Amino acid sequence: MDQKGAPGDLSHLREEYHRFAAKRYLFLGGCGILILILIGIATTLGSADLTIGEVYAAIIARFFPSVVESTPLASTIVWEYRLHRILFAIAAGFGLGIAGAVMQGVLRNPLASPFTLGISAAASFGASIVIVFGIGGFTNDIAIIIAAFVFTLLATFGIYSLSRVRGISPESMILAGIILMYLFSAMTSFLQYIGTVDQLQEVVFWTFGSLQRTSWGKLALVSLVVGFCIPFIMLRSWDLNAMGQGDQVAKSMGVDVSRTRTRLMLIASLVTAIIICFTGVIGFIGLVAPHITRLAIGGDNRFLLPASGLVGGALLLTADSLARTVLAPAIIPVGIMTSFIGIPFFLYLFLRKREGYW
Amino acid sequence: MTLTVRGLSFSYGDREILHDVSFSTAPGVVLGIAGPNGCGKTTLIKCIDRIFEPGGRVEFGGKDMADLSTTEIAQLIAYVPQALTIGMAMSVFETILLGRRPYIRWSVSDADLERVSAVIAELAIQHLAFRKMTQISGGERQKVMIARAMVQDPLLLLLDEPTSALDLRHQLEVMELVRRVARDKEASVLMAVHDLNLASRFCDRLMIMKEGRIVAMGTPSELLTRELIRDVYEVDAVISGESGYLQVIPVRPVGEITV
Amino acid sequence: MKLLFMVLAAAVCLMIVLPASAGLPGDASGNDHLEKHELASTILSALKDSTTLQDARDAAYVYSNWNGSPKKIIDSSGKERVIWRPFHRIVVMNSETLETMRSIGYDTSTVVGVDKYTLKATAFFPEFKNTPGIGSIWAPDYEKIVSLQPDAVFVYAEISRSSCDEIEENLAKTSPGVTVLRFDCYLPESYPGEIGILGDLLDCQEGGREFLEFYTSNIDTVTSRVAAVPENERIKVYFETWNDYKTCAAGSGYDQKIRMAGGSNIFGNEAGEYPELDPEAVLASSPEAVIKLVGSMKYTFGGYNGGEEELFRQTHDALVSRKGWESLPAVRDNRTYLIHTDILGGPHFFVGVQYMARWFYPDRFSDLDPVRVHAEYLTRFQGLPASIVEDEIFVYPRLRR
Repeated sequence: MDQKGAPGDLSHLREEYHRFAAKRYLFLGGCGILILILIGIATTLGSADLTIGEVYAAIIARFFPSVVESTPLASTIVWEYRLHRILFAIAAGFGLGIAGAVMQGVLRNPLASPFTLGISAAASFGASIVIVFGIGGFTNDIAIIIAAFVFTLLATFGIYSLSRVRGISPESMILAGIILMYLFSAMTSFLQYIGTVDQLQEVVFWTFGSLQRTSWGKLALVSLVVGFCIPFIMLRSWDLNAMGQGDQVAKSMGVDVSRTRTRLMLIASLVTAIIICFTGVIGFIGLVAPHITRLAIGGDNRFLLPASGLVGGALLLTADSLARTVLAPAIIPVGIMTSFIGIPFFLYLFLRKREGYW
Repeated sequence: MTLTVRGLSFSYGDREILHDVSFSTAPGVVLGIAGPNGCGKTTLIKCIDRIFEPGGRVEFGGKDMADLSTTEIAQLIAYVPQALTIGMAMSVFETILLGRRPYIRWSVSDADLERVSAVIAELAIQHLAFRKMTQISGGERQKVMIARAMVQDPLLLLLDEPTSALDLRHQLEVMELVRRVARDKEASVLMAVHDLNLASRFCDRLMIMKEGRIVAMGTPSELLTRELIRDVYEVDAVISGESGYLQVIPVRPVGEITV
Repeated sequence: MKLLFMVLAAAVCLMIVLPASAGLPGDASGNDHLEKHELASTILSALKDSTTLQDARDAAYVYSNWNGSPKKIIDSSGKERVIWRPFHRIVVMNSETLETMRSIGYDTSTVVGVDKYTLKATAFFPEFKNTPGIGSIWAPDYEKIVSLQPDAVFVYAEISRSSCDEIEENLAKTSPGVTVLRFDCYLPESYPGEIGILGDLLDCQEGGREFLEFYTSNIDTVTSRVAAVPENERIKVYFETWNDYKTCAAGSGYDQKIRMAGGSNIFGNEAGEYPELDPEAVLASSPEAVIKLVGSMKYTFGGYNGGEEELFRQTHDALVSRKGWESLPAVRDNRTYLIHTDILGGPHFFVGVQYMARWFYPDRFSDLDPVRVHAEYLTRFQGLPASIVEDEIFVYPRLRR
């Protein structure tokens, strides 16, 4: 009979686990603080040349008008142009980050993201239909949003239906996603071909992704939907962890693998849809944020999911802040900026020698 | 609790893999399943754990498994796969903690942590506890897999060729561990084995399968005869009892060699 | 001579189209000059063999109008083009050139193929409603073009250069007899020259001169008075295209036209042709006048193809009620305007420039009447009724006269 360790050993292990978990909570907290700092900095950035003092005066004056004074111009710029855009970047980045982490976990694939699964391509196609065939008029904007949203969900349904034929496994879902990506890309290209020069340009710009047209209303809607979906996702963290060990092991641990996979994919797509229908295609956040997080705190989804969200929010806010200051007063579409940030990161990953971080 | 299997069958597409398999096993008994490649031993194990949905009836402790939820099954039966090639980003402790999933809703309780720590101590892998899975050897990984199954507090332990990727020393260690679990927890153990010699040494009972059917069931000493080996494996072998356990030493294939 | 004209008068028959072969029609000696005796023999042989009638007519035309020599012009691509006979069938792929042809009085019944944008503009080009379409410069239908057997095909020179280069190359390979001519017909720096060259090319020299005078005088009335305004007193303008918050910068034609009208384009120095702006920047720039272009994408209404005034009003209201815009000088002083691309983007952009001049410097240009100029352009040079100017909306708010 082997000696069991003395009880002292066991508590030592327990304590070490607590320390282990504490590091993750610390990371989450750190990310949260980072985001607050980034918000604080981002509000002071912009072409309007407001001083830091003016910006904060405008913010505080809204709540405590008797304490601080602010000019109407500063107040308008901060409250009607900057704040909702900054908060939207956080919410959108959070949603995309979490959606990406969920997709990578559900499909056990480090390259899974809304981009690679054809979901973004479907949204682009929806927008293109309205742009090329729309009769113009002010309802065009709303029609674009609705079409992009509807087609994103259609693509998800397509992935689900296609993969059901072959069994709801990661392989079949990924293949189905790739099929749809090529299909929608081809159809979008066709629309670009038959459209006028102006329409072609607008379709292309939609695919660049932009936070130009955010508003408080849109922010509320996105936050609501994302906030609603988060508990669903978080409650399934353990199932996602188990699925990381393989479908069969997960089943043996009590996880209903195909149902969980389907539901999580649907929720991740819903979150993605509600974001990109407003912003256009913003790539790389869903791909890069989970990887960064995994590098820092490992693969336990209880921490990985929310942390990916926070990292995604920080990334997108940084990208957007850069996008509107680098060439000020001109604006670079934020989707281009996120690609610029994402590529060096992937280069770094590629050059690392350590295997199996994933 | 007793495992009883009656008339189990399973087809993949139009290929029949298991045909009318019936047997039972008692607590504390290590039952090995052996047979040539493709005989269906891995599939049988997965059917018992309802990873696949078979035809026929599987009863454990008198209850029909088809009536239980996946979580209830997971609290009774644990499954250890052949080798681990995924899920590497986690640490050893976290991977073992996963085995508590049938008992965890959201937060990890102290009881869960105690169970994991106890198992880690039993397997003497404390020094590995917070290493990443990529940083340990294959043999150590297999131990971690068994540890994960153990924290599930199962009454039936299913193992799919647990030693196929291990070196000599680790093979012995893992087999000793399995026997200990069966004895101490009074759990039934069902183990698909490749190596007949390991089976003969560590299994209380042995089941030989061929082409989806059970062809023989009994103790290793009853089953491991030259005739059986020739029938099932189509190999001429010598059975030796020198080491104190029956050893099968293959000599030459029977009949024509089709290479 | 009498014989000559008798033959010509008697030659009323179906047009027999011969592939425009290089070389003057009837130039038997091949010296690229038509002598009188060569003309005579061409006519005589046509009397015998009616299939060469077209040659005879063309030879007669060349002899009497071109002094027996081929016409050589340099188009806007800088290349010399040699024309051996007058055009009977032409394909015009850019509507700007088509419009200019009308302006100089050319008989556009020779046009056998137009592009899809011309076809869409049914109000402005009613006579081409049923003309075959040949796709567009960015998606040309080569089969259709070749099947129409044109003598000449007109495309852009500077604009969409690579697409037009490709068209020129492809036609050179497949139909070497077709002359490709390249004119932009709406760039302020090259347009005056092009009017003259087109007039020369199409034997509408008189019409060309008349139109050129009309054109330059309407431009000059603006630019000459604007020159008197010192740089630092020029009106600061924020110009927005039909994409919200997209402005025009130095590379674009609109920037040029703003400056022509004496405005100072606030964002004229940004990179690119149509940079997208941070909305704050517009607020912070305090423009004295705001001009928004309509006529495409979300704002496809107005202009020749018609549109409700209500849409203009809605657009204008949405524009001035953007958050914080009430503090802009342009909004406070009611100097926000909508202008349709039909009168600013094309060959008669001078109408739009005159509107802008009136908006920027109402005192200096109080006598300028762009509405009248527009009407004159339509009736005198385009063969369209003046009522269009009253019935359709090209600017908002409309000028008070």
